[in-house]
Amino acid sequence: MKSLEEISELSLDELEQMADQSTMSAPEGLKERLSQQTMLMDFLSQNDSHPIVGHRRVGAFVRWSAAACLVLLICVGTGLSLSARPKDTFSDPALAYAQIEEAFSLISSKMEKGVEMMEELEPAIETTNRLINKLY
Amino acid sequence: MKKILMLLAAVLTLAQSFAETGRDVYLRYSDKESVAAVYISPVMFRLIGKLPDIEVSDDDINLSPILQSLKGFYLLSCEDEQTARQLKADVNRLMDKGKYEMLMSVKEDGEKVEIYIVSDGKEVSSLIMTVSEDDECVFMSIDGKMAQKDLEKLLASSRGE
Repeated sequence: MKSLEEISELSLDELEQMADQSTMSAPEGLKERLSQQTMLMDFLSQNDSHPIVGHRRVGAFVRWSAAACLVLLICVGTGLSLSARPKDTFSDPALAYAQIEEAFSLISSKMEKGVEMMEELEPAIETTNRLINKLY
Repeated sequence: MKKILMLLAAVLTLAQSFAETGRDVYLRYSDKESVAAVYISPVMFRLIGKLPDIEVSDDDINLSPILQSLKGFYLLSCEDEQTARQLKADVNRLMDKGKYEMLMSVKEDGEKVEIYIVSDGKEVSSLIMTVSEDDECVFMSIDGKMAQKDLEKLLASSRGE
């Protein structure tokens, strides 16, 4: 039996010749197992940069957690903005009433101005309508 | 995925910054230095309704029919040119949403008055009036459930019709 040192000095061809001449047979299924291992090693070496199944689950969990946190922040922000209430300017209802009266008076005066302008233009509108009616 | 989430967050934050009602416009500008703000709450309107002696002379407008239906009164008076411009832009954006219908627009002597309402034909749920000049802007918003007929009578009563 050769020693390890002697075997290490042998070339590949010589090792193959020795294997062919050997009476010992390889265990059953060894060739298939070896080929499977080789294929697995090739696969792992190709997918070094990609996460394997366990890491993929962790990545998905992190993404969903981030999305849930974001939705929660948006909901809290929306709720806070909806619940914002301004403070009453007046503490005396009489003063508040006076303000409302003044506001409606202003709205009314502006609307009156608009109506007056419409009335001034009424003759021109009537003339236009008459001309259009004549055409049709 | 991160980019999509960031984009979604940015869009939603931007959407929140846009005013949706007169109240939102008021909340946005009421704290600014160059803006005078007045707010009357529904509680105050109820108190007004309980006042024993509201004098309603011939010259005054009779508010009693719609007082109880008012839910909020918001007034902003802006005398700063930049803030006034921002306020006008915000109001225009609010009107572009399509919820409000223009009732009237009058332009005279450099002053532009616009009145918008939200109405279903029988009730006016919101009225907004803006009066804007070169460097000033007045914004007024009234929320409530005002019967259209009562509102028309109210506005006509000051014209002496």
